[in-house]
Order: sequence, then C-alpha cells, then structure tokens
Amino acid sequence: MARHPWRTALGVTLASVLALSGCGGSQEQHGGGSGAPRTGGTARFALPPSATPNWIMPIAIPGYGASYNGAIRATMFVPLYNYDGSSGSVALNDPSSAADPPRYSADGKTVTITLKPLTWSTGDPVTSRDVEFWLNLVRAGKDNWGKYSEGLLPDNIKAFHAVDDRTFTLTLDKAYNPDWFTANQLSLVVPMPQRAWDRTSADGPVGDHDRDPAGAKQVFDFLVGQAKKLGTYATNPLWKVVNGPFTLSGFTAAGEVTLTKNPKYTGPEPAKLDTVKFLTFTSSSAEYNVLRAGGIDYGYVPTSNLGQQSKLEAEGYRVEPWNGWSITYSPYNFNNPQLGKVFSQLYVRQALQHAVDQNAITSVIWRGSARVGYGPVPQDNDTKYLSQRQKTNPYPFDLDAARKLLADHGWKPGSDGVLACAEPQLCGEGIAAGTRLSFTMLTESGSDETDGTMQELRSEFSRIGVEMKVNAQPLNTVLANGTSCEPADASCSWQLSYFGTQGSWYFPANPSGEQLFATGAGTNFGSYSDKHADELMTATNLSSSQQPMFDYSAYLTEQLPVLWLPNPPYQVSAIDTALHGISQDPLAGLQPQRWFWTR
Amino acid sequence: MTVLSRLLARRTAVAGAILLVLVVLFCFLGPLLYGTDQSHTDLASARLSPGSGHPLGTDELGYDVLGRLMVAGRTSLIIGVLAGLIATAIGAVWGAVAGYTGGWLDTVLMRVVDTGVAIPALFLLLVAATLVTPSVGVLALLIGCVSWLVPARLMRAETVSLRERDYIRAITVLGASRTRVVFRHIIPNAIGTVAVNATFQIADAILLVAYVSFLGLGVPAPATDWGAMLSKGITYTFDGAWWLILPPGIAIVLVVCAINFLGDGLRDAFAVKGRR
Repeated sequence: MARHPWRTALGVTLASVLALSGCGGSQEQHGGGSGAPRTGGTARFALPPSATPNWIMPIAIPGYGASYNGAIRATMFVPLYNYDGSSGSVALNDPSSAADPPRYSADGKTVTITLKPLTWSTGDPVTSRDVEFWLNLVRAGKDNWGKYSEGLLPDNIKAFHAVDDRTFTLTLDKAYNPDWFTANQLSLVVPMPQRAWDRTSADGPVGDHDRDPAGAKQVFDFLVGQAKKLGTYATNPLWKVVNGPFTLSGFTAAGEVTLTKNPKYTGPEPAKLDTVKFLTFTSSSAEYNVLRAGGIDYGYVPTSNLGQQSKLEAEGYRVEPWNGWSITYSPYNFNNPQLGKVFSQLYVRQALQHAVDQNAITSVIWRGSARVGYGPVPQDNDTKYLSQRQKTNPYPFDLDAARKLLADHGWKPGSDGVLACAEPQLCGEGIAAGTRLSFTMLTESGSDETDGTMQELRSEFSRIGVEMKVNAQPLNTVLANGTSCEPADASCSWQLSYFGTQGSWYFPANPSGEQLFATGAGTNFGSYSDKHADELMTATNLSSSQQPMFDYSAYLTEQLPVLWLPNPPYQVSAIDTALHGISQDPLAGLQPQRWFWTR
Repeated sequence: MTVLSRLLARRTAVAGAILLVLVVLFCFLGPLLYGTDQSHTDLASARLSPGSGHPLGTDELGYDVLGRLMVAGRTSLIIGVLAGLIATAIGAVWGAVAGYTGGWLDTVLMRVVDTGVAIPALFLLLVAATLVTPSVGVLALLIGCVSWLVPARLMRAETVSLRERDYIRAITVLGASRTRVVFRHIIPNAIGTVAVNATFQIADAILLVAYVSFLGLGVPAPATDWGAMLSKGITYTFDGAWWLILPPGIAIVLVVCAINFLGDGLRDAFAVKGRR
C-alpha cells in the first residue's frame, strides 16, 4: 500500500487513465481486404456478457437451454430441420438441415423423412437409427428435457418406423398443423451417433440399450452426466463424434470455446474458416474495451456506446443491429411458498404491469435499440401472428391505476411504506394478513442496460408501495436457479427472475407458446397454469388458421403469465468489414461455417 | 512543542486536515442544503449535462450527480473509516500479542501475517463479495479483515522494542498479567505508530472500496459510492459525458491525498517526539 501521498495520487490517476483508454493493449487492425473470399483463418466472436457455454449434448436439460449453447451445438450436431431468418423471413434452411423436407400423408398423421447423406466423423453414415436413438432417449428422459411439454414431442409420436437406412416414418397421435409440426417439433430432433453413444458407462459396450426403456434411461443419465463435466468437453471421445462442419477443439473453465473445421464433414456446407473462437466477458463494458482494442472480429456495442458508431466504422467495423424473433419477460414463481399465492392474483400482476414504463426503458436505457413488448408474440418483426389486444397494450404505464388496484384489494402501506395485506378477504385466497408486497428479482449481471432496467423497475414499484430487491448473478446461475419447482423444494425460494439482456426467449419458426406457458412445460419456469391458455395453445398447434394464434396472443396479453418487458435486440453487432458470410439470424442461430475472410 | 503544535506547523498536514473537514461537511451536511432524490430514477432527466437545476448534470438514470456525489462520499468515507479502524484494531492487538509473547506463538502469528500478505487483498475481497451481499457494514468488515496485516507487522516491531523498556520489565516482575501489559501498557505507548498507521489504513480502505465498486461488487443500487459512480460513468466516457467520471475521480484523489498528507504530518510529529 502506498505511503506517499503523491505516489498514491499518481497511481490513482494512472489507473483512471488506463481504464479510460480501454485498459491499454495494442490496437489490432480491422477492415480492408481485397473483397475476394479466401479460405482459412480464425474469427473471434464475443459471447453475451456473463454468458458462458455450459452444455454440449443435443438433449438439453432445464436450465441449460441458453441460445448460445444451441448455436454452438448446431455446428457439431446437425439438427433434423434448421430454421433461420437469412432469407429475410423465418423459413426452413435446407442446407443446414440433416434431412430433406418432410412429406405428410393425406390424413396428416404420418410423416416420411429422408436423411441427407451425412457422415459421422467416425466414418459411419448418419442413419434412421440415429434418429430413433434420439427419440428413445427423449422418451426415457423427457421429464429432464428442457424442451418437453406434456402431450407434445415425444408423446405425440406413436410409432417410429425405419424404411431404410436413410428414410423413416413417424406416426402421429393426431393430425397437426404441418407447418407448426415441422417448425416447432421436428426442428427439435437432432440425430445422435448411436454407434458411439449408446452405452451406459464410459468403458461399457455399445449396444442397443436405448431400445429398452430402462436401458434408454441409463444411457440418458450417462450422457447427461458426461455433459455436466465441462472440463472434459475438449477431450471426451464422446463429443468428438460429430456430423457438423465443426468439431470442438478447446473449452476452458471460463467457458471460452474453440471450434475447428471438421475435415470429415460430408454435408453441403463445409466450413470456410479453420477456427472460430467464442470469447467470454464478465460485462458488456469489458467486451467493449476489448473490441476497441481490436481483440474481437465479431462483437457487440453496448447501447451506452452507440454514439461511437462512426469511430468503430473508422476502425474497420460495420455496426448492424441484430433483432430477435423473441420476447422478453420476468417469470413470476407461482409456486414460491411466500409469494406464490400473491402472484396468482391477476390484480397484483396487473398492478405491477401498470408500473412498468416500457417507453422510457426502451428510449432512455436501451437508447431506442429495444422495442416494447406487451404479450407472448414477437412484436417487432413479422406481425402476422399479433392480436390487436397485444398491439394496443391493455396495461399502459399508470401508477395511479396500479395503486388503486392494490388499495381496492385490501393492501395498505406499513410503517416502512411497503404495502401489506390488511384485509385478507379482499387480498385473495391463501394470502394471510400482514403479507408484505416485497420480493427479490433474480437477475443476470454484466449488463449496464439490465442494471438500469432493474433500477427503474425497483424505483417505479416503490412508488406504488412494492419493494423489489435485486440479486444479480451470472446468466447461467439465473437460468439454473430460476427453474420450475414445487413449493416444498429448497430451490423454490426465487420469486421473480430476469434473463432478458438479449431477449428472454427465442421462438422456433412458429411463435406458439407451448414450451413457455403450457402447464408443466419445460421452460415454464414460473409454473404458470391456466386451462383456457392450454386450450388456446393446443389450438395453435392443430389449426392452420391464424385465428387461434390471435386468440392466444390476446388472452395471454391480458392474463400476464409473466411480467412483460421491453425486448432488446439480440445485440448491436460490430463486425470486421473483411469478415463476410454473416446473416444475423433472428432465431439467434450463428452458422459460422458460412463465414469467410476477404483479407 | 506538543504533537498537535508540531502537526499544525506542517502546512501539508493542515491543508489535508482542512480538505478532509470540507469533504466531510460536503458529504454529511451537503444533502441538508442541497436536497435531491437519490432513491428514485428519473428517466426523463437522464444524461443531462451540467446546467441550471443540475450543477453537475445527471447520470444515466436521471440521478442528480452533485447530490449523488454527496451520498456516495458518505458511503465511501463511512466504509473507509470503519474499515481503517477495524484493520488498525486487529493489527494492533495481533502485533502486540506476537511481539510481547515471543517464542512459538510469535512465530505462528507472524507466519499467518506473512501468508496473508502474500495473497492480494483485492483478490480476497472479490471472492468474499461474490459470497455475501455487499452492504456498508459488510464491506467495512471485509476490507478491515483483509487490511490488518501491515499494522500487525508495525505493531510487532514496536512491541519488541517496548518490551525491553525498564517500566515494562518492572510491571512484569510485579506480576501483571500479559493481557494487562499488552492492553494497558504496550498498545497505549505505541499510540503514535497506531494513529499514523490508522490514517494510511483509512486512505487505503477508501481506495479499496473504489476498486471493488469499480469491478461491480460494491454496495447495491440505489446506494452508491465514488468507485461505483466512476465505474458507471466510464461506460459513457466514449459519449463525452465527462461529468460522470471527473467528480467522483477527483473526489477519490482529493480525499486519499488529504488523508495521506495528514498521516505524513502525524508521522513526522510523532517522530520528533520519539527522537527527544
């Protein structure tokens, strides 16, 4: 520690100057290039703030479904059907899918699918058996599958029949809307290397264990156990068996991922780059400092620094917003033992929603890069699914309306100004006298915009007598700790959570909500349950008409299964102008095999 | 000349003391004269440059920067002073016990200190701040608990010298307990060393608060301190919002310098006494 005042002052000043100058470091050159594509090279991609990849297996368990996990995984394990927005609207992307488009029978109950001639890195072809393997494991472990919704995949597949090595049929339990079924169900299927992974232990023999339900459960548990060992990702022989354009060659404890070109890839889109590195940062400010120092080829600009666009462009980056096919929200934990009954009251949710000043948050905190969001359907892209009710926002920012709703239902301020239930008969069933309207928001750390949004919410809520405490944690912690639970579970202590710095939920091609809001759905973190909402979601899955989607949009906009919040872009990207082949997919996919350098 | 008169004869020390008094008045009495809402955001007034109504502008959430500087300073000073006193108290007792007892206990106690010194305090603070929710009290305790090592060494050295003095030997022969000797005779007679070191500890603690907050692990919002203000302000540096970083940055530098000036003055004043 310094013992001389002038030395101390000099130290503080130098530290400040270093911080202001982006922590020093040499400036790398970006931009330029001949314009002609060249193969090889490395691209460095910045992952979202405080986000670290933590799952590799194509069947992700709850809490491990972050979009970057899926985007990285899809480069190694090609999904049966991949949708993206590279064509300008969300549509099937044939080259990055493992199968040709499905053929539905006249009665709509049978689907025939033919796989493309892909090969695993072991030299074995990708076959119907690999799809059956995935299906058997999902059946065995569906309660632990993050994408599971009761009655949907795999429950809705009555039979699997292999016609030959590359063709199979699925018999469905009823006729579905074919577009929805392909986009939201078949897109979840990922062929997995049965000949390498169908084992119950690391040194156990490979067999047909998956064809017996008990054996399938053992295989599922074994693979999940392996997937939880992050430190072995780069060396575990299991994960070396890939059929995508990349293979995993590096994975650090901090979550930095290195993909290298898979020389044995036989599909239509071989990687043009040799290596893609995914870099992690504890905050968007830290990322921006490295970006300014030239250490990132494809990063993002925190909205607080959007005024720097011209400087970044002068340094060889192009700045482009990346809007998502997404919605953003905070789930209420309806099973929380203290406040679950309170959140179950629609008037409480209405009061809180009235206290969210979405216009101010989008324009000031997000500096216009986010869009308001009032319901369950993406609002700032294709609006063909959007109901009039959601468009017009039934709960505009109105603190007086919020206060009145709470006062009319028996809530009165205590000595500290926080509302407490004074008349239990008015507060609602299961709410005891003296229950305080005080909760903790479990939120992701690392983003100034999210910090600001949380402070704004806390501030406005306090104006209506609601106390909100903020518990900021890294994104993976929020996702792992804010999952669905039963009231008696120790893990049910969370009350509200927020994981929306880049949008909370990216939809598959069809923005139906069966994975989010259906009773018992895998990503229904708050355990929302409403019979009519379930019926509406089922209708969207069955009918080819637009009306069920409008009804669903309107009903959930009014019912507030979650606290609707402004929807940020996936990011405002800064991309080296010599790096090409990038399409900023609204579904948050990456497709790095299409990237190439011109320098 | 008394210690006080010798202290007052040193211009840098007097300047430091005056500056410190002004900062304390600014932070603790300032909000009474210049009232601002530091609890609620005001997005309609966000990022205003200095002007009428907001002499130092507003921050990204619409908080008045001048008012925030006062509130933040209060947090920084309270944590700094508390942490400095905690570190000094622990270090004084630890060093005195080690130095007076000697033998194996001295060896053990001082190897603990050596080990602790080898681990960067900032690292320990960051680890601790991720395990507990930082608050004013918690941060003061944490910083105090990682900052007592240097005072312990100083106190041990002073104690080894004092224990050879005749009056210490005499009261030991007369049967005074070790506790009595340490707390009634050793520590009071080392008060000069302790007082000087306390000022440095306070200055260091204020800097540590700033470091920890700069790294995003300070007191939770809407509470703030100068380090947190600096951290948030730097986000907007590239946009030219100088009023978000200069005030807290200057405040940290001024206070740390003022306390160090005062500490240097105290050291010189006590050193003269020691020579006599």
